[in-house]
Amino acid sequence: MARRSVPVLKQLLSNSPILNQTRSVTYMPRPGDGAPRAVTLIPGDGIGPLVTGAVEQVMEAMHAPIYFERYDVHGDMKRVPEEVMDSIRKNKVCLKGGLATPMGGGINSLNMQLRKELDLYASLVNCFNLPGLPTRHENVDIVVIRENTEGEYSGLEHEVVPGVVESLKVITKFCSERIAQYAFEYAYLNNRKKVTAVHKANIMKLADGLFLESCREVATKYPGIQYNEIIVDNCCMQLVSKPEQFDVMVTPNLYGNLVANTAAGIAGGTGVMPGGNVGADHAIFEQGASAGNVGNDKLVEQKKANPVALLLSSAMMLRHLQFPSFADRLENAVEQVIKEGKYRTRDLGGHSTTQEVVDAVLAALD
Amino acid sequence: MVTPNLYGNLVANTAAGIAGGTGVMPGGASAGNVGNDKLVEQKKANPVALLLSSAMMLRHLQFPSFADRLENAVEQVIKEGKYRTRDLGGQSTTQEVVDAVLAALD
Repeated sequence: MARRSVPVLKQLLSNSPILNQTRSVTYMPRPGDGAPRAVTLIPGDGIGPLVTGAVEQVMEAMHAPIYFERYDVHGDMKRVPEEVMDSIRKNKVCLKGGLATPMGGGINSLNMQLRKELDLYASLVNCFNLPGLPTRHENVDIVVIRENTEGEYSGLEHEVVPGVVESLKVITKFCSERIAQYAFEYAYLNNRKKVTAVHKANIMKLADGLFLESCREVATKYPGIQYNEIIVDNCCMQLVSKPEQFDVMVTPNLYGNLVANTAAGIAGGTGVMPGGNVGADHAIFEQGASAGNVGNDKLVEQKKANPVALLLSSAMMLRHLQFPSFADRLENAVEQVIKEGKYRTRDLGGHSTTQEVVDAVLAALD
Repeated sequence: MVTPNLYGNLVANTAAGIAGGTGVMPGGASAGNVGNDKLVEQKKANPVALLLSSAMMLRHLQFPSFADRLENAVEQVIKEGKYRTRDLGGQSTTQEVVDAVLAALD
């Protein structure tokens, strides 16, 4: 019983993105927990290699008990190479830079392929205000949990007659139930008070209606957690005017994409929000929102991409691997750098290069 | 911005939200929102959006000078800031805002 409660306690203590320097409960590892874990690393395209390089440097400096198995994957490949898939299946955990998705042309997104084949059915983004980075809104701390495998991203389109295209949005009880279950379980384990389901069931009565039904059923199993529903258009408006009302949000695929980006935007930008994708057996950590965004050529040339999002995501990964003190050190160092405000990339209003920010983080590590 | 149906719904609401709220934007963001019972009872709904939409309607009917007068009156009331409904941070009732607009008409 005591052993089972340790992960729960750790999760409860890790709920706050702003961590205290001291922990009130020390983590008692099992013998052998310090053995280095292998993590698959996919630098990817564009700014991907730049930001994964940042993570590698910081992990090395902390002597974190992980080692990376790096694989070259690019967005214009037809499929993710089988050896990469095997590596992820073996290691269970992967860190990814970003894979560009070509538009049109019948090439499926490799990001989607990874999610579907590994059944990473939950995408999670934590959007919160960072001290030292003021935005128009305060007290923002939203976790968007997005169904990652079906919905509008089923990839089922056909041209009925020339000039008329039909696109199928697929919603299943199975997927809706498990994403709702994950959202409530996350809220429970992280001491969150409220789960909001985002939908447009007034128009898509059957599809979004089924999603809502599944959320309601799961909500009854967690009477201690508040549950409410919001139509997606009103949700967008509320996000940009009163975001402090939201806590955990559970959404189908497309709305989650939009809500996550909006929430990231109001809280500081997609360059700083951490997140990842998780399923029953595997987890891939990457930049929280807009993970398909690999920057533009200028950013790559000038090496000015923002490494903060991936650094914070790798901290989430360290907790997932049950190395909480390394996660704490990493997060504290990053937050200190942001607070001091001297080294910031352009999306945060500064002029620093990626390496300058990384050096500042390395210097701030204790 | 030109958008397909769903994205337009979301983008319009987001844009309305950042520019002042769906209570003031003419056109039709959140047209399905009929408020709540409390708003109806207390008669505190914001008439600005529909007033500005009706000015658009007057122009559509080719009565531009009436549209101008209506828009100027509404904008003056918002600018002065004395009569505002709750979604704009004030406490006025619908009728108080309307009376202010009537007074501002030339």
